[in-house]
Amino acid sequence: MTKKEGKRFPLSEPGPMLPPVPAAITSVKGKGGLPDELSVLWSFVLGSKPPKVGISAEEKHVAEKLLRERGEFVLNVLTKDYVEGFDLVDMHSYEEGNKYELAGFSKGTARKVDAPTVEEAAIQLECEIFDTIDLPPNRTVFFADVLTTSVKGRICDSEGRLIVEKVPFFGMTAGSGEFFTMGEKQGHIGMTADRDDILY
Amino acid sequence: MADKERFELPRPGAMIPPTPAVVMGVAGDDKVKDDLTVVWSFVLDGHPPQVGVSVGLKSAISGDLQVALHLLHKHGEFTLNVPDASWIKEFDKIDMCASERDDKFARTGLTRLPSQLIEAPGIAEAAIVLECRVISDHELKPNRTVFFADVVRTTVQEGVTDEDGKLKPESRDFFGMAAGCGEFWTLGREVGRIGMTKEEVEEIRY
Repeated sequence: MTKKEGKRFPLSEPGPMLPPVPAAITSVKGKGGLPDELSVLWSFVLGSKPPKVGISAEEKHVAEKLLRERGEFVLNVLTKDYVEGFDLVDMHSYEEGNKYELAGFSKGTARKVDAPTVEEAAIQLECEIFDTIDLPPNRTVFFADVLTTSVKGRICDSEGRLIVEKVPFFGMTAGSGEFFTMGEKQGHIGMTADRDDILY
Repeated sequence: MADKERFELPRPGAMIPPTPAVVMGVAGDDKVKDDLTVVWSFVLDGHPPQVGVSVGLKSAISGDLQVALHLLHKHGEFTLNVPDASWIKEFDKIDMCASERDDKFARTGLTRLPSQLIEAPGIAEAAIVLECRVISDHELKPNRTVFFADVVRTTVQEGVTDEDGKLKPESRDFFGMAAGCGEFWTLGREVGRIGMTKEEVEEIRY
C-alpha cells in the first residue's frame, strides 16, 4: 500500500467523484407526439439477485416524462467504436432532430418490454420500472427490474459470464467527464476468499 | 427485425460495466465498531452532488446480517472511499466480511481518517473520500435498502486532481468492477469526453 501519508485536500466544491461509472444510453418509447427517446442518464446497479437497476433523470427532461408514462426502458451499453454517437445523443434534444439519425444508430425492438433499443449496443438490459422517486431539487429516480439481458456476439461464455477482453465498453470518470476503456485486470470479487463465482 | 447476432443470457443480469468499486465507511455504536463495507454505489446528480448506495440486509458471502445497514439507519451518514489498485486485496477482504463485527481497520491494516462534517470514518489510503449525509431511504424488496445522500465534502490525495479540482484519472490506478463477470479492471485508454461532439461546450465533469 502506498500514499497514506500524502497530503489531502478538500475540493472547493464537493463532487460525486466516483471513477468510473457506467456510460449507458436509455431508450424509451415515445408517446403523444413525442418521438422514441434516447438519452444518457446516470445509470446504476441496485442489486444482482434479483437483478435491479436504477436511472436518475432530470425532471424537466423529455425522457423523464416518457419513463413515467411508459414504465419501461432499455439500457444500452455501447463500445468505444460508438463513443461519438453516444456523445451526440447526450448533447442533443429531440427537438434538434431524430437522435437515431444524428448518432447513426439503428432502432431495434426489445423482446420483453415495449421500448426501442439501440441495435449497435453490445449489451441490452430490458427493464420494467417498479418505483418512481422524487429527488429534489431536480431529479426523478426510477428503480427497475431487469427482465432480460441480451448481448451482441459471443461476448459471454455459456454461463452468461461477461468476457471483458471481447467487448471494449467504456466508463465515465465522474470528476473529469472522460470516457475510458478498461486497461488491465487486477483481480475479481472474492479473490481473497477463494471465490470466483460472483459475477455482480 | 430480430438481430441474429444477439443472444439472450440464460439469466437476466444487471450488466452495465463498469461500476464504481468503492468502500463505504459508517460510524459504529456502543455495540459495534465502525464498519467498512463494499456496497453498490452510484451517482444521482452532479449539481448538486448527490449519490446513492444500495445496502443488502444480509451478506452475500455468509448469509448473516450485514453490520452496516442498521448503523446507516441509525446515523444517516457515511463516507465513500475510492481505492486504487495498490490496495485491491484489502478492498476485496472488506467485501468478503460484511457480516463480521470486528475492527475492519485492524483486519485490513487500513488507516482511519476522521471526517470533518460527519461522524463516519474515512480511509486515509483512499485517493478520494466523499462525506455523505442521507436524504432519504427506500426499501428495495426483497432484501435491500437504498439510501440517497448529499455529498457534503470531497477530499482528495495530493495530485489526484488539478488545481481546479478536476480529476486526473491517470494519477492513480483507479479500477472499476465489470458487472457481469465480477472482475476489477483499471482504466485503459481515454476514448472521449462528455461534450466531445459539440464545438462550444463548457467543461462537464459529472
